Amino acid sequence: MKLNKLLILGIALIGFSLYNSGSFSLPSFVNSQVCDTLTIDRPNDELVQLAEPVTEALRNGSEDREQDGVRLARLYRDMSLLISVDADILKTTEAIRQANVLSAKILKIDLRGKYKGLSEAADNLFKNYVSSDAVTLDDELRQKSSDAFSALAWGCLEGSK
Amino acid sequence: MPRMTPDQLYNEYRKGFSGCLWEPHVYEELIATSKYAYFKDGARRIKNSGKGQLSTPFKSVLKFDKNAYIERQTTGDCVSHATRNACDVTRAVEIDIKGDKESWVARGATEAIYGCRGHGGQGMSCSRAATFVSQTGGVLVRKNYPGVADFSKYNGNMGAKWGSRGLPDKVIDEADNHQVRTVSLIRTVEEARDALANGYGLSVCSGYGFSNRRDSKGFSRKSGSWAHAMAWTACDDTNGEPAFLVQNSWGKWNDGGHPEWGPIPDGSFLIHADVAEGMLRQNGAYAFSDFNGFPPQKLPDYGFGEYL
Repeated sequence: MKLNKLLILGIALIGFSLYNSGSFSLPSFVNSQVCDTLTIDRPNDELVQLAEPVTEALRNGSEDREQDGVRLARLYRDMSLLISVDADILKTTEAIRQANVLSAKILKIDLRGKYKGLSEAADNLFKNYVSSDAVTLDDELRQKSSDAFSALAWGCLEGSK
Repeated sequence: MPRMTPDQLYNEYRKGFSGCLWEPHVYEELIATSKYAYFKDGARRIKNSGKGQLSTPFKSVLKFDKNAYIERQTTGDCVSHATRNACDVTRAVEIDIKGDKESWVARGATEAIYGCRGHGGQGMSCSRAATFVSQTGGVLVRKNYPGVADFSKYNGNMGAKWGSRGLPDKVIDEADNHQVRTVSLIRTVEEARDALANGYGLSVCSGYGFSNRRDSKGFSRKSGSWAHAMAWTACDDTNGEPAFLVQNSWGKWNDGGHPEWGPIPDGSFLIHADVAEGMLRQNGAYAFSDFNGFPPQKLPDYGFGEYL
């Protein structure tokens, strides 16, 4: 995996932020309540439509959806911010893919098998709204990528309710 | 020419080896058939766009391939390296700066360009190479083309051998898919400056030789005569007159200082405007633009399946 140090640093900061926010917890605290309130703006109609299957997958999945949905929402909200603020870190859709996988590894998030159809729904949102190609991010695609993560965060938060 | 080290290449060219040739009939035909044979005719809208600017389009190449300029020629195929390096600048900028939805894939391959030279000896003209990438062939990249040829690793012998027997039809057909649409003759430093400012790489055939030592600011003085082709990959016009970054294809053959604006790749050096003007007057400099590139590769997924 060819990720530069800045990207790793950025993702580590996301992890640190999540850890300190209480949404990422050590195993013994998994069932603790999330103290602070997370709010995500409702995305545009197109993204709402694409995010609905994400929400449905969470609602139809594990009983842990309240905690898991919030954890994912925080991660995706911060990914959205990371993409929008620094064009030197994430330059391609492939880099977004790598950052996504690496973020989950750093945060030890592994929800496979808990929410049927969730990964497909998230993937579909990106492929339809951003691009299904391995391409460089221009200003428009960067904005779309940021918006897509934000919409994903919104969908996960809705699914946690 | 046997497989040579950077020092041996330097000495061979100094002793009179002809890497670039002058083929008047090929030149005249290219000029007659190109839509914008002369840069000034096709570039009125960008005239003086590089004035006072620092233009470093080679940095787009390095974003895709940080080892782009390590590859060194091992036979007399300097023209194919210069043409490839120039075309790579153009297509890298098209993706990196101009936002073309294309894929870089890999650096360009030199073998087919050199293989089209039409004779079994060494050397070729920049006009013939320009004709190949824009009309009779196209651009291939460093990868394996199953059933066609394996260009994934530079093989000087492959292009050398094709010289006498000609390129296989399959190679020509494959190259034909990715042509440079516009090739224009560059005749002044202002044209060269404006071309580079717009991300068009240049290949330059000339009889100028240079020292293998750069001064503290990255310049090499003119020294001897080489029948040689090199790519021009950047221009600094912030100090009153344009200076050009020349990228040689001998690997790490020189050393010395770097310009204030940043490090330059191994094998490259800066030249002053008066030297550049002399090289361009020899009618062997071409700018490449509007590359019919490679379609973007599909992203398998965005990685959500790894943890959701």
